[in-house]
Amino acid sequence: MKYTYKTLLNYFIDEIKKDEIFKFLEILGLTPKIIKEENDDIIFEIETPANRPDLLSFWGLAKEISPFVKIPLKNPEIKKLEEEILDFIPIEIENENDCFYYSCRIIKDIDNHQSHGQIKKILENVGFRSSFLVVDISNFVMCEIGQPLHIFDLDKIKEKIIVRKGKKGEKLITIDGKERDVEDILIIADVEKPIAIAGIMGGINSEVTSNTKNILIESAYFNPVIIRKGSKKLGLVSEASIRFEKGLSVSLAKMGMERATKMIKELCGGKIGKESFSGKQINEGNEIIFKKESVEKIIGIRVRKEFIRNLFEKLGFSYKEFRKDKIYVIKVPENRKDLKEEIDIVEEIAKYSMYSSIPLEMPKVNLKPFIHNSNYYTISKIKEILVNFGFCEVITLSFISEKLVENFKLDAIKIENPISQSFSFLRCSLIFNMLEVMKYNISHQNKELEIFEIGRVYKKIGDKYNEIDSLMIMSLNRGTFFDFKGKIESFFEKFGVVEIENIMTENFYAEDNNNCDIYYQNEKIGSLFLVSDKLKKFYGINEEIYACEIEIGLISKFINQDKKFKKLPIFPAAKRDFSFLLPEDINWKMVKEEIKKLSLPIETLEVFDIYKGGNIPHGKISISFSVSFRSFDKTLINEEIENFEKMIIDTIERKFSGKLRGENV
Amino acid sequence: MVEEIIKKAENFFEEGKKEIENITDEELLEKWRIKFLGRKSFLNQLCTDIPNLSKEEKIICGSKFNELKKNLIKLYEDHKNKVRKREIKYNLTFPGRRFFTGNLHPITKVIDEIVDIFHRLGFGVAEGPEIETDFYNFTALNTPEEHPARDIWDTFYIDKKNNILLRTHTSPVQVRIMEKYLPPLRIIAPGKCFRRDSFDSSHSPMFHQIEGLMVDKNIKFTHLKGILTYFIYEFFKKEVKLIFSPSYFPFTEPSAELSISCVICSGKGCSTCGNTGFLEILGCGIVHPNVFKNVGYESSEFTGFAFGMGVERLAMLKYGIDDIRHFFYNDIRFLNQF
Repeated sequence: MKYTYKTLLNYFIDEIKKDEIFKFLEILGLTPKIIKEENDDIIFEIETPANRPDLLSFWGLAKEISPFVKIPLKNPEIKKLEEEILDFIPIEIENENDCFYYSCRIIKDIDNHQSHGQIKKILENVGFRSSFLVVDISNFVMCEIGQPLHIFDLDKIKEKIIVRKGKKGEKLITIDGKERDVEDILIIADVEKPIAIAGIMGGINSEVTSNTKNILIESAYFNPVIIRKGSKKLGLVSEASIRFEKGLSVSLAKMGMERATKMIKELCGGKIGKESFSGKQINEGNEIIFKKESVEKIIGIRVRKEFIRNLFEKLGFSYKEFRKDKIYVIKVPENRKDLKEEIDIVEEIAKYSMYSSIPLEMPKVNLKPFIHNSNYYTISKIKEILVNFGFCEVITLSFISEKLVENFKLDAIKIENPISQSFSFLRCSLIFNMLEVMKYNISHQNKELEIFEIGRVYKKIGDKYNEIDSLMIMSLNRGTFFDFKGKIESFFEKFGVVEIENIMTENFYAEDNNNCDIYYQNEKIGSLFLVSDKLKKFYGINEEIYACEIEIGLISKFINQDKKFKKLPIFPAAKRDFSFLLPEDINWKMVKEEIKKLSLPIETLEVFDIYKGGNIPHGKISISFSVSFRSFDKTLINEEIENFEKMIIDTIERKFSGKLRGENV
Repeated sequence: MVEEIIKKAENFFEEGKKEIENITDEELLEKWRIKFLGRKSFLNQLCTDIPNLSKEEKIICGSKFNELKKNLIKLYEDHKNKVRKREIKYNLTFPGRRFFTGNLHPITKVIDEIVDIFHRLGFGVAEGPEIETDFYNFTALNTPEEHPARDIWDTFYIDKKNNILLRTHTSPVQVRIMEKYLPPLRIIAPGKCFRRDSFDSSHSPMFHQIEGLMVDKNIKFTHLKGILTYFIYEFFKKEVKLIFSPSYFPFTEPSAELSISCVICSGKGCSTCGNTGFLEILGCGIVHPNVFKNVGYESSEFTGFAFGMGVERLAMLKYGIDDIRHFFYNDIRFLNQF
């Protein structure tokens, strides 16, 4: 809300320097944003807390800073005027839970004219468009004390005021000129038609015009939840609704009626009619028991009783002290609905003690093992290793587009109220947005990259929404598929996962059958593949992309295993290289297993070259590998090693129709 | 006689000293060596005269000769080093061959740094689901339905009818942890959050938050100030000025907002801080008794504080990044800068 310095001063009996007022507002966390400075006045805006409708008024703000100043407050003049005529309008409230209190009063034969002078100036300064004087008075009273009012043209209302829910098909054109469907919205109606949307906006059919002579003032206390729901449903927020939805009070409604009546009588004349009202009896003004020691316990400071007394009096609390000022029983003002329990009082005391003067302290704690309730450290380890291998981490949005989901018929979770079609589903794999990253970089001439992302993917299984920590690694133009695969294998080795197995299977994201699933200890832990052309085409990528997808949950137990020391060998190793021509579709895993079956003292067996084409016959593939023999209890002699070699060659030739190429290197 | 011999020897030395100065290659130096230090050198020839001298003269002469010979050897050794042909194996001024280095995303770096600071203070890491229920995201946090404060968090719904939504902050983790464990508690919870904001230079529908929670007997507002002040000093690596001012969150009371003197302009006023000299960094406060009630804690026995901060904002300040979208475009030229 906007305020002006001069206007605030109206609510103190003497002047306070503007710097002081601004300092106090800062201390209270109500940092003013200066809009305009003119002559000796300043117009400023403050974002007030959602639970403080009382601050949406000049008087309320003045009251808020009053505990800091010696100068007393000057409250707006409220005086009940005698009625001059007997006219009144009956009120009927359909449901007292929608409208706790409703009052209205007729004023007849007013001198209706356009607004001018002080009121017009103040309203324009704080952002209102000036209108007829009676309407301006109602807006002024709202800005002054925080009670929204409405002025109807009395002659356009038939018989009585009914506060009820809108019926099916009922419509109302509000004063902003828009037709509103008011079905199931709380409205003000006469016997024939809706004339206003309760607490939100008046209707054009009962609006004050230049012909208006007789008016009806409305001052009410609507159920804040009903107003909020209505405002949301209609998509209509008004100065009235932002106050009503935060919760006002009966006493404020009564005050608003008297203040408006008095000002209209003074400025527009007319004859005052009888006030009619309806509503249930509500006990307002919460009673709170406050123990002084709570301030010390929660804030860590001691406060003096003089400080407490001054604060309570300035904030308008009535209170009684018990047990030598240690306990207070407080009754807070009706319009401070934010004050409900002791902690609310503690907060007020902390605020006015000034947060900046509360000292700093480090807590003393019991040493207990930390609670670690996450994959955070596992993921950190994975990230560190991938970064060491040259992969760059990316973070993409968790959303995917409707177009993508439709195109690939993905089973993805839909967002009911997305901000746009491109962000309308939750990702079911990291692959999509990572391809988007690839595309973005390719189009910025960065055509060699290796990236990874770790994040959650979302899947609905039955009624359950599952979030799975997923890792996706991708490579573009940084060597062959086997360079990539080597990095993945080295990555696993870092965690002691050495003997991974590959099984070629289908993968939705892979090109044809260019996918192998990664198994470790007979459990599938991920997959390694060439990204399919149809996916790449969707993103406009032509380059070959290698990818690896791993589910973090499946490897975390290996990652977090403590490593055990193995004794270093004493006797030397002997290394022999082999090169074979083998059928193209050879399953390397089976070759390894057959060699294993020979029970030779083999320490490692590593493929170092795979070659196809050139001088290699069609349908064949050249595989070169190196074997390291080592015994744990003796030095192997040449004859033994030659024998081992023969056994390996013999096995491969016999079982896999392999052919040794040339001599052993 | 002795003087004569010594004079001759000194002249010979001077001659050698003069000649060696002009020698620039190893071959000439070798010739010099033969002439001045060789077996048949003039000095050695002079030695043949020594036996004819008296005992005392022999001593004087011998020591002089030795001294001159030593000096000649030194001249030779020093010069040998100068004329030695140098072999240049590599031109070491050429640049090295670079290898590809990976990099953590700046968001991860900032999260890791913050977690690390709190870890040193004895906070453990916790996480919770991103697809949350209305209960954990709002109700348990003292923000029941139709609470006007709900407007602060514009929410994405997955299934509104069944109260399934994308969490709008990391605060639900507080509730989940408190439901599961009894105090004392010290946790830090990083994670993704979602709000219905447009995707522009200062907003993103997805962003990262870090939530902190400490619950124990005798936890006070003074401790909240102490812990957060330590954190800010560690994170910005300098003694910035901190301002705690009153604020409002339904799940904390008293609530506070922490601002620090602008790390860009040191409080003089710049575009980053909107010329105020201060930056809002995080929201915090004492855990509201209703939150304790909702998780079954006895609020007369325990107190606690909580805080939450936006990671993107801190990363933007720390690295001087002007557009939040950079974090999610993942331009490799951007990522490699950190």
